[in-house]
Amino acid sequence: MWKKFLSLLAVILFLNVAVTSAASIEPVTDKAGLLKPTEVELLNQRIRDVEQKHKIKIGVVFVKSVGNKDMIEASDEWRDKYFSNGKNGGIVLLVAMDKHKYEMATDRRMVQQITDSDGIPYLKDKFQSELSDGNYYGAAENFVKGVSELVSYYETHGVAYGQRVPGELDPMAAAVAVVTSIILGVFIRSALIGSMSNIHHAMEALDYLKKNTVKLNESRDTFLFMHVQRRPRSSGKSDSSGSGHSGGGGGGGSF
Amino acid sequence: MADSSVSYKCPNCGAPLSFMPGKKTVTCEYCGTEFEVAAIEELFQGKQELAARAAEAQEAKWATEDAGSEWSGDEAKALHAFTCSSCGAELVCDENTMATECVYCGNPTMIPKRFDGMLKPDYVIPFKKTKADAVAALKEFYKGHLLLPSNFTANNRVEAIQPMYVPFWLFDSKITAQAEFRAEKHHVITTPNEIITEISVYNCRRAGTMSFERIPVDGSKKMDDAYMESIEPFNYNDLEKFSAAYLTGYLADKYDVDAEASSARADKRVETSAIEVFKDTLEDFDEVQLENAAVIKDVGKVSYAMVPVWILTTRYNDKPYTFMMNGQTGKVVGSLPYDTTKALLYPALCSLVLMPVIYFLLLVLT
Repeated sequence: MWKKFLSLLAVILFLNVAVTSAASIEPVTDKAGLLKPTEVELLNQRIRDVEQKHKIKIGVVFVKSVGNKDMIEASDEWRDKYFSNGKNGGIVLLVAMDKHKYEMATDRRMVQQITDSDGIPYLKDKFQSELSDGNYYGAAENFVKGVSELVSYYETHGVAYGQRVPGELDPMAAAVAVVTSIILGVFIRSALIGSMSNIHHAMEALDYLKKNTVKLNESRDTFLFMHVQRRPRSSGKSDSSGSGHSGGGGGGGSF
Repeated sequence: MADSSVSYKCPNCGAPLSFMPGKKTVTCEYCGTEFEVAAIEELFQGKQELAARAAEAQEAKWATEDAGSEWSGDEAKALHAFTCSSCGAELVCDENTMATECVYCGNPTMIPKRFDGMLKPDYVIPFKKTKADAVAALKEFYKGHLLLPSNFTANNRVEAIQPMYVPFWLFDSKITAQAEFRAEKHHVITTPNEIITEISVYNCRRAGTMSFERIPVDGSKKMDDAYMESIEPFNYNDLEKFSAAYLTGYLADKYDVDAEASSARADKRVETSAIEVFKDTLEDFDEVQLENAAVIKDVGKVSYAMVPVWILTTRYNDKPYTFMMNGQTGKVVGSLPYDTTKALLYPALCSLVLMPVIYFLLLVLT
């Protein structure tokens, strides 16, 4: 019995070590050969500092191609495999050089801090121009800096960047509420004034129609044509919906 | 000189007779004797003929050249004088007045001359609502109007209450109608990325026949058409064959808009109603738009009826306000004044209450 328990413990320890070693990866992966080793080292160090400070995981991955996978699927794979074990969440930036596309993937905890609606566009603005200029080190550095800023914002304010701080006035909602209530007030005024009179011309004479005399001699409905209207579904302003990422959020683009 | 008007007096006690709302007979309010309408009509027929001749004679004497007054010819035509058979006072009324009461002694008076040269009404809907009913109904009408000025109800005094038989044309018509509609059926398909609406467009033709019974159109220029249409509908179960006896004690006008001139209004209402009937058969469609319609009158019959209306006048800030009540059903119509301060304050309060509600709803929804 004791031997069986020890062998089970050994198997568990082996598996744990194996998983940990598989999940343990440097923050920066450059499979496209875009960065110098010193740049990789500098970035790794910077990322580790941010990770430690915020207890998160950050990954920057440059690949030549994602093969047959699409960018969302590939970035989710990198996130889930190597960067999802941060206490406060994880985020990955995947750059595919063949298609000149990039994709960010956030896990369930990180999407609360970096939202698809405001956080991801903020990050895009931070590094997209550097990517387009071929300054990959600068792009990665700005990405890390942006992530640090957004997570710090969340830690300071208690809400993600772009989200309303509880108790703080939402100027857009307030403006809409003011305009809508004024319009409703005008309608109410018209209705109240209108209710002061019940004089109106009679437009029809249905009170005097002898119902049993109504006889339809012809009732023909001819189909003429059909047209189709398409409108995109609104993605709303939710944190994770609409990005296409499973198990979190994200977003990407081309450069 | 013979009287030019006939006073409907009780053959028993000589007191003025009045038709009491809700009764089938003419009742003397003083001695309580009840008379059949037909009996009263027969009794006073001779007097009416005599009064009519007297009125003709008096009218001839009343010519403008003899009077030498400043009245123009048109004005003189519109005004007519007659003597009250009860107190002898000389009264003036307009050319359409059939029945009135003496302003001096209150005697209900018929003016038979006014019946001449015009059609005799076919029907009458007798008054069912009394003066007290009319006052109570008006008070009830004031209720529930938030913008009504406070001092309007506090200092309100009804200045005048007049019961009047208003001439109405009742149009019976059997029609053949046809109409074409453009109708749409919407089918919405929702996919993860978009909302697709398939709109199927149809041409719908409807044709058929239907009959309308006694569409009322007032035949009096004095009465506002909108008021008269607002007091509808009438219950024709109470329709009685016309007798002048019903008019005793009430004001009554004869028509000054003939049936031909009134028919356009009835035709328009018939057309609108026929289209509505056809539209009701298109319930399966999501949107319906009329393309064209044609209504042909197969049979058109007109009858002439006197309809009971209570006219109530009140005054507020030196401005008269007129209300009318359907003397049969008790439906009151009119326009009330509104307090401009309240008209600003109440909507502003509503806006202030709604503002935070909308704000928080927006926060919850986004």
